[in-house]
Amino acid sequence: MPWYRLVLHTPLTTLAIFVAASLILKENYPFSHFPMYSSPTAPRAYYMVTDAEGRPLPISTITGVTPPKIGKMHWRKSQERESMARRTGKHDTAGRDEDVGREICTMLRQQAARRGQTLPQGIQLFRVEIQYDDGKIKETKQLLFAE
Amino acid sequence: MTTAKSKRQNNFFSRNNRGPLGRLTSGFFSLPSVSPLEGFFLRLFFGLVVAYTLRFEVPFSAQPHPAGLARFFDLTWLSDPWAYSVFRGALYVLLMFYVGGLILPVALPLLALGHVLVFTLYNSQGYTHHGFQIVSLTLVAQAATVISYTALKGLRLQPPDERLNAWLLWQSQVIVAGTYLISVFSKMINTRGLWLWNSNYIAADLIKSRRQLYYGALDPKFDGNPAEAVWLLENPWIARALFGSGLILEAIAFLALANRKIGFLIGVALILMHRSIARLMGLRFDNNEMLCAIYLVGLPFLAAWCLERIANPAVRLGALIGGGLGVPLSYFAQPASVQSAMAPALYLLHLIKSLGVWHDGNMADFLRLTLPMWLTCLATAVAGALAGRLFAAVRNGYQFSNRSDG
Repeated sequence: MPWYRLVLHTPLTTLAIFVAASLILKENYPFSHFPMYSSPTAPRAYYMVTDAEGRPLPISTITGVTPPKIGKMHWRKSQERESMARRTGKHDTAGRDEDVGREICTMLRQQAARRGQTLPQGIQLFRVEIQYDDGKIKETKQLLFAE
Repeated sequence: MTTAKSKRQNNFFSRNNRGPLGRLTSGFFSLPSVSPLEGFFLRLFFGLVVAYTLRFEVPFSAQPHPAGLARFFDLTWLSDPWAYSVFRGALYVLLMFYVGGLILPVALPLLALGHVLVFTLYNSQGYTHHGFQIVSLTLVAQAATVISYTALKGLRLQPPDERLNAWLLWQSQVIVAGTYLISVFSKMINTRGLWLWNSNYIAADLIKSRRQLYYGALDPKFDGNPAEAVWLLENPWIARALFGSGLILEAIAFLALANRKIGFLIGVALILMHRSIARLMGLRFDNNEMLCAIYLVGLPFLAAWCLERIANPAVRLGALIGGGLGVPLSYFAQPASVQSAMAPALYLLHLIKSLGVWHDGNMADFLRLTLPMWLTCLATAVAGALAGRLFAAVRNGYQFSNRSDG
């Protein structure tokens, strides 16, 4: 069988096209480049929501939005603002975190309302960095936004 | 005229090739044999998974970060409960045609488009979920296969022939194995080839995942540091070996396309990998697991093989039809509390939702709802088999008397 007929008679051809298309199109549903855990680095970060006194809130139970979703949303919104800042030349990290945090907290309130739940006044959004250093697990908490 | 060289080539790419390497490579170039019964079970099992993914409501009235088709179309109409119930109803009807193998050139593209639209809106909220792509992409690949086959062989509205069944299996396996291969490329590209070296840091992700689970619901069972994560952080080379073995498995997953035995081994290994990730990190990929079980492990092949042990085709068909009818009929075998709580259509949806046992492993709840169904299906399958036997006997008697008269 000539090579061009072999190419048409094997699933390896569609496999190659599928892999290449997914890597090019990235996150365009239904395509994805499946980047989960593709860049392992020393500090890892997670997000948490607390009330005004800093007591953690069971955010998935109240809103249906899980901490990983909050993290992805924060990353994506920050990236969008960062690329806009690069175009305009105006960099304001504190202002960016404030805007992104406000948007996320507004969204959390909307999702809670849809489920017939209420978030307390004055919620706070934290980013916590985990690092393994000198045989110890260290966690550094950073306040991103407070209502 | 066949030359010696082309003979050698044909032998090499044939499944009869005796060498181990030859058998492996030949599997990539000769279609697997898929009986009509296996084709039916492939569509039935995958159809159930598709129906299971549609169990969610769509609670998004905006698409703040449009992805895919949402860049071109406003999909927020799907969040309207009435519109979505009609839309989902239409998808269920298309699924019934799909499982029956009827009007596939029409049903499959519409089904694929519908599934893509729903989860495009899900993924246009600013956070990407990676659990549904594999299902949508399998539908898209099957739709493309049916359209290509129609273009080459003409329109066929009845159940697919053996060749189309084989291509549908192959292209679905491409999607399942391909998603793992894409992940390998992403890991290598994002770390410039250093993923294995850095993979020990994933142990910190185990702690991160545990924290996320804890702060999501403040469930005390997720409080504290998992001992295995701390141990892996203390032993980075063991961590590299452990996570590296997962990477190698993902990289060789495409070998499942070569033959069923390799597919079975890789399918089981991938399911075990997902189960260990779920155990360590609390991350579930149920749709991946179910598609591995269907397309790589070969549960439909096993179901078809069992049924094909019944030699008489009429008895086999009777048992199959009887067993199928047992599902809706089992509504009447349910206790009064279930019958009063839900209408028959809702009962069928609850049966589909009971596939959640794959996720939560709650066998008691699963059996409470489905045991009457299994028993009814068994009884109706036996009744169907007896009816098939009777039909075959009557037909044979009729043919015999016709021959005697002649």
